[in-house]
Amino acid sequence: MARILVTDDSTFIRRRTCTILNRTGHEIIEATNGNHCLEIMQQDKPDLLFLDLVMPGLDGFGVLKTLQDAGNTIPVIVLTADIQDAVRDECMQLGAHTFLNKPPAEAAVLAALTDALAEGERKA
Amino acid sequence: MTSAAHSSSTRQLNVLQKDAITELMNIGVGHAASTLHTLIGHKIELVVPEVSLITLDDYHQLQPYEADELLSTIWMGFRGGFEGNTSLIFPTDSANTLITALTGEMDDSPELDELRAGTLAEVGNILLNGVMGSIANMLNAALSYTVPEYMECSLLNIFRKNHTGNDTIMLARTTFAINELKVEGNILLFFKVASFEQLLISIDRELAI
Repeated sequence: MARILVTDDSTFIRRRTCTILNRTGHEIIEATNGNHCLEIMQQDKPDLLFLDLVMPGLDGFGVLKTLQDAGNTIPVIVLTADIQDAVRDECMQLGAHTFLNKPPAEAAVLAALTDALAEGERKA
Repeated sequence: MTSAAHSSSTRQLNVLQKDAITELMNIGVGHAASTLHTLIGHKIELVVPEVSLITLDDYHQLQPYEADELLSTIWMGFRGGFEGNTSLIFPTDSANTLITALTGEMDDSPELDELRAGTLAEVGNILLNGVMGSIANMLNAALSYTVPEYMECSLLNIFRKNHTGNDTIMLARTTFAINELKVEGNILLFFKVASFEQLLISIDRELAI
């Protein structure tokens, strides 16, 4: 069983995402902004991160940069409303594993989850 | 709202530019409507967007809303290739119906107010990103966004939020409806003066290809 951290300032999106992830049997934890996310990353050592981009305080780009600078190997799935190609490219350059748009389709979330966890195991 | 550039404006859009902005908005709103359909499972009806150059005095053009009617509004700023802000507005009844359809929460107790406002803000975030992201992708521009804000305010306040003095700004506006739920809303897109000229340069560049 993997430990998955879902970071989004929107309760609505966290609920939707967690509802999908709860069916997989993995342990799900939640963070409501970038700073909260980094705290939990330190404390609970999740195996995978779902990350929103535009959030109050430290945003998703800040989280990605911090993780990249720290040599993070945990796969990050960006889940954002932003559909810009330039933003997708920036996230991938900052080390994101997958870039998904909101609202997340269940099949896309599960496919990304499976693929990202497999990559996480390869890197571990 | 008039479909031509407003007579009080010192600037004019030529036919090609106006057509291009209308089509950009149309594609963007089409993307947003597709996303809303995914969220809510009902057909979304769209009206052809209208583009105009306006001043603060023109806010009354946004019929059928009264100037002082409280509207549920999600507001999001953007900057980068061009600058401005965009709003998703609903009459209060439509907003409540939409939230109930999305969350299943019938209870309108104060404890749920935050969830309901947050849900509407996120719907705005998704839809407004759909509109702006489509436009940015088509014009090869990169935009950054503010965190979307939910507020209940009048049409006049929305307009005041977008004007300094009596400046002319460009407004692109479209109406959508979810007839099965009796929900209707508007997407407003305001470009600041210097910025819509940058937008026009981008459009002219695309038209030259």
